[in-house]
Amino acid sequence: MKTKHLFSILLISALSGGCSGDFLERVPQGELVTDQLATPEGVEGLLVGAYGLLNGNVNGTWGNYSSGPSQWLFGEVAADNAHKGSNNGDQPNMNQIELYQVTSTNDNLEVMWNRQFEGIARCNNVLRMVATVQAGSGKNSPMPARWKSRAKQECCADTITFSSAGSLTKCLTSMKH
Amino acid sequence: MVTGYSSQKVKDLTGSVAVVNVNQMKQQPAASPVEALQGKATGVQVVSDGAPGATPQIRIRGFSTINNNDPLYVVDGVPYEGKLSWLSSSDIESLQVLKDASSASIYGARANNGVVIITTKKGIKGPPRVTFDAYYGTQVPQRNRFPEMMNPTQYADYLFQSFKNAGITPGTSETTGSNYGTGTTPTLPDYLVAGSKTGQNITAADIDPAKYNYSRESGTFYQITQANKAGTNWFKEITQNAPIQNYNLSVNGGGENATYAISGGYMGQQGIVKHTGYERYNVRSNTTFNLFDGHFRFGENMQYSYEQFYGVGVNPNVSGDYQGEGSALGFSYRIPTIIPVYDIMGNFAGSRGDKLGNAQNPLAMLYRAKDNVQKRNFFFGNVFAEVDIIKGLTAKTSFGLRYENYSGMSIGYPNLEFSEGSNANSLSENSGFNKDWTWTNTLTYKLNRDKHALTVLLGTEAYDYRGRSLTGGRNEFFLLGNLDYYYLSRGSANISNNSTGGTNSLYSWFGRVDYAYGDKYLLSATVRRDGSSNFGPSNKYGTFPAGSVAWRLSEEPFLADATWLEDLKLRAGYGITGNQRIPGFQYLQRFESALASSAYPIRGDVITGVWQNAYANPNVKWEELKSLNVGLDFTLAQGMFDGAIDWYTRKTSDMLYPVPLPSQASGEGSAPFVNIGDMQNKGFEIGLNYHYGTDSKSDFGLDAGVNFSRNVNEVVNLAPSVKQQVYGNFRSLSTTILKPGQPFGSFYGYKVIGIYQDAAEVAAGPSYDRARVGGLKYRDISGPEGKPDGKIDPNDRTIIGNPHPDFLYSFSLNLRYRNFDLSAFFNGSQGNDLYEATRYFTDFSTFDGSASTRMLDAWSPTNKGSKTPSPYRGASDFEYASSSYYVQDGSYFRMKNLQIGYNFQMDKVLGGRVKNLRVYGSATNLFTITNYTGLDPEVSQTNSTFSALGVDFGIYPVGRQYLIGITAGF
Repeated sequence: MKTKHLFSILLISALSGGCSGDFLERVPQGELVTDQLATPEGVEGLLVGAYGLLNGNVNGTWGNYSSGPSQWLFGEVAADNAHKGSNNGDQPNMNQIELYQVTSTNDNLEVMWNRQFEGIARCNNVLRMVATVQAGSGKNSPMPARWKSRAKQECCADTITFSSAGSLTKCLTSMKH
Repeated sequence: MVTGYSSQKVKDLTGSVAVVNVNQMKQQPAASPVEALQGKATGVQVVSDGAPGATPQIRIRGFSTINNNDPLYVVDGVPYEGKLSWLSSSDIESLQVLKDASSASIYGARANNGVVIITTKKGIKGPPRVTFDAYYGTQVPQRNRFPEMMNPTQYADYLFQSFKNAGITPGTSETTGSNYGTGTTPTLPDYLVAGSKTGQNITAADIDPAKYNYSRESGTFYQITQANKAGTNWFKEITQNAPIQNYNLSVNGGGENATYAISGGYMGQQGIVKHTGYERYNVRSNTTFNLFDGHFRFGENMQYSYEQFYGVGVNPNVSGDYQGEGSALGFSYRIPTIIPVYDIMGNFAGSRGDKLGNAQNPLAMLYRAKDNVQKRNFFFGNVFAEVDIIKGLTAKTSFGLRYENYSGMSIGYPNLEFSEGSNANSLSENSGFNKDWTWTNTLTYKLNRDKHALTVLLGTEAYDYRGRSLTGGRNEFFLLGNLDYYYLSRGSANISNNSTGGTNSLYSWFGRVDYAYGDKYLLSATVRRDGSSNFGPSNKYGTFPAGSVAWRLSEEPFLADATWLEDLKLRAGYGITGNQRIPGFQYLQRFESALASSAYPIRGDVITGVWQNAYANPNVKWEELKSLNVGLDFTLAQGMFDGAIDWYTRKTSDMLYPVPLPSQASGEGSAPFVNIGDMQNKGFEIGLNYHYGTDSKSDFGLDAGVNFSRNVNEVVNLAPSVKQQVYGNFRSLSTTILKPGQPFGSFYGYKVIGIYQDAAEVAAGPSYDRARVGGLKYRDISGPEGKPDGKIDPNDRTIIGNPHPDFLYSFSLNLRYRNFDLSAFFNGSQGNDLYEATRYFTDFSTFDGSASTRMLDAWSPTNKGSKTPSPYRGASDFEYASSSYYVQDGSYFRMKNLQIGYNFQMDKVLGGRVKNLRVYGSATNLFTITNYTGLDPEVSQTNSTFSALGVDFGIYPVGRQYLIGITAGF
């Protein structure tokens, strides 16, 4: 009789929760969250990341066609310095650029604009993180003021080099802060 | 019968549950037990995949959501999501499909797409009973369904015509190259390539075998390939008849206080596509024990299986993942038929040569991948304990564990015979583990007094998942093709390594009340509250209630006299279920440091920086599905007829999907999952069965059944910011659109209204840039203002097809005469469209490659009635953009299974030691009636962020199976 009651009590208590709120809190694996980057090292990492996009290529080789310093497609092919090559049916969206018959569904346009905005996003993340670190600079080592202005200048300058007026406006706006 | 953490009698069900006849299911041989679920339950659509050990695609009552539509499996009370090939069908005792929310919502958070409950065989009291099951057979490709491609002579004429139609002179080195001569009509070459010479430029000196050198260096590579003037049938070359076999031995028994069921088996299936295959070894042990006069019960169910998948297209995790133009089947559509399989020395020939396109030799690809293997050690089981506290009150605890350890390797070989080949050789290896445990605690109280029967259940459940995987790769191995040499440390270049992992958890409380009055009025209510680690603090928990009632009309006084009526039950249920199957941490901004994406050289060193790879939606929350089901179950005429009719409506709201953010917001980072959009499914199901001679006394028995299901799917609305989303990108095709008011997965493109018959018609318009005589003519639907504007541009794309069937149906027939038995099963799908994307390569002069024999009937000034566009080199991009030319009717009717068996009377034989012996022969996929022109009308959806349903890029076809089997009991 007694053993039976003991078992029951154990089971009922097992039923009644046995779980703390932490059980449902997990952390991203192999990824960083904003708090982990709110340090000078984090800012520097984001800055290197921003520079990393200067070649117009996020990952793999696709971006090389329609963005990047070579500007092969929008520069050389459109200017008749280079042929697209291969078969007629290979990459018809590039045919469109070469023939000046571009439609709104051309994926090369999307890639080019995406890369530009990614560049600006990376610069903005740096600036945002600098502001966060400076605001909480009691905890971490203070960031030199020259880092902040340098980040803005270099970032903006490079953005202007390979993008258009839209990004220039955005860059100049952010410089005001 | 197990439903929702407790058992209920079938006749007391208030929700929509399909109880599957497991014996009928087992008649169809398949690696994955749920493959045979096709047609056995109304409302369940199974799309098979011919690959060995493949995951069939299962949809319960249509597509409920934009993201993952797979159902939840519960095996012996332990929930499981994923591929079921590790479970042997011989171990299954019963299988039920919970189709509506009122039955499934007890599983709350993971039950949106329905639940399949599987119970494995348990021990029964008695002396050990041994059963041996075996079958052996052969799978035969359906060769009459192979696409027909032009032979070299036909293709050469077609090629020349495509240039002539475009006003270009064929026979020059820029146009048709050196293969077909320099005249205005083509001649076939004798050789395709000899060293650096090609086609008809090859002289006798070039084909001197002494010069031949299939070297690993592209500089010294000298291949001599003869032209195959008769034409190579690539589909025939890459397929074969393949054996399939399965053996299972089980022993089952028990005493007063313990029972056991132990089994072990082997399954081997080679693929009908060469050099692919699957093997599985499994062992299982289920035991139960009673203590303290049966007031305390405990036991375990566990199994271990080892699986091995080898070759191309035998992917362990997701159906359809191997599809695409770069697969062996995709290449078979693209490679010219003039290329032989082997060159003069027996090495693989390929598209090396002049203007032979850029397809790989598919047999070479399959052969080189024959040792690519994925192995999986899979442990799945649970231990449980139950105690009766006081009369009617039982407490139970169950701890289930899945531990999976997998590893694989993939070897790359030089393929210099391929026009875009290289001499790189490589090895990549991967290994990892997935582990999840589920701990369930329940308290059940049963009270029976007079006519009242009440059951109350309370419980909690915790679930935790962890996984990690490691990959590595290297190039440049000294020795090729020697499996004893392939270790990563022996490679000397391109050293790469990567590891990744994930974690998530769930915690739930649930409660259920079942009440029955006099077996006449039945009521059931459940509520479940789930928390998931996938959501942030603002929306971590979701609550999922459900209720259902049933009225057994046949017990009512006004029907008590109706002798023709055995049972009539009317039931209705309403419930809410949830979905949280998205990648985790959508509520957090995430950054990564990646060499390939955010690195920059500083003073000669490459420094890896950080970039934001994923954006956050802090308010991401549960997706919900509300469903209403009304049904009628009946049994008539002393059990001669029985059946069920169900009508349902299901509305999914707050669907989780990653709405693409505009570039300004997210650049290249991934957009987070947001809750937007609603989807609706409405339909009805009818199942009818007829039984004759069910008592064992009569010599003749017959069971016949018919199932009919109709489901209508509609995307009700999307986010305010998203009017529609075009996706399903394949080369220049975007096949599918997500649009409110249309079914999910609708095909999208231009609507073909004919062929331009002459220049006047082209000029009269409406037409597109570089439209031409003999080209496809499209309907002008709209311009920027929404009205036809006289020209064809991307605004004129429209809905051109629906991949969902109008209805699904199946027939089954089981006959018994004395000791013989015969069963036949047919199933079909009507009204579903398929998008034959392979036509991009075979019907348009897009690539140098191959062309379908459909093009022999192409439009020409002398063949003006044809609907097929004429060959034209350099046609406008509009011609091979997505259009209704690709959309085909995918309806089919298939004789799925036929089995004939004989039961030997064993009492007088061998001293009665063999209790029963049955021998049978069966055939699967005997015939298929369809108008679809592709390889097989069963096309699994490809795996992408938005699922492009019904798009055929070259699927692994399903073959016919013939086998003989034996079942013996001792």
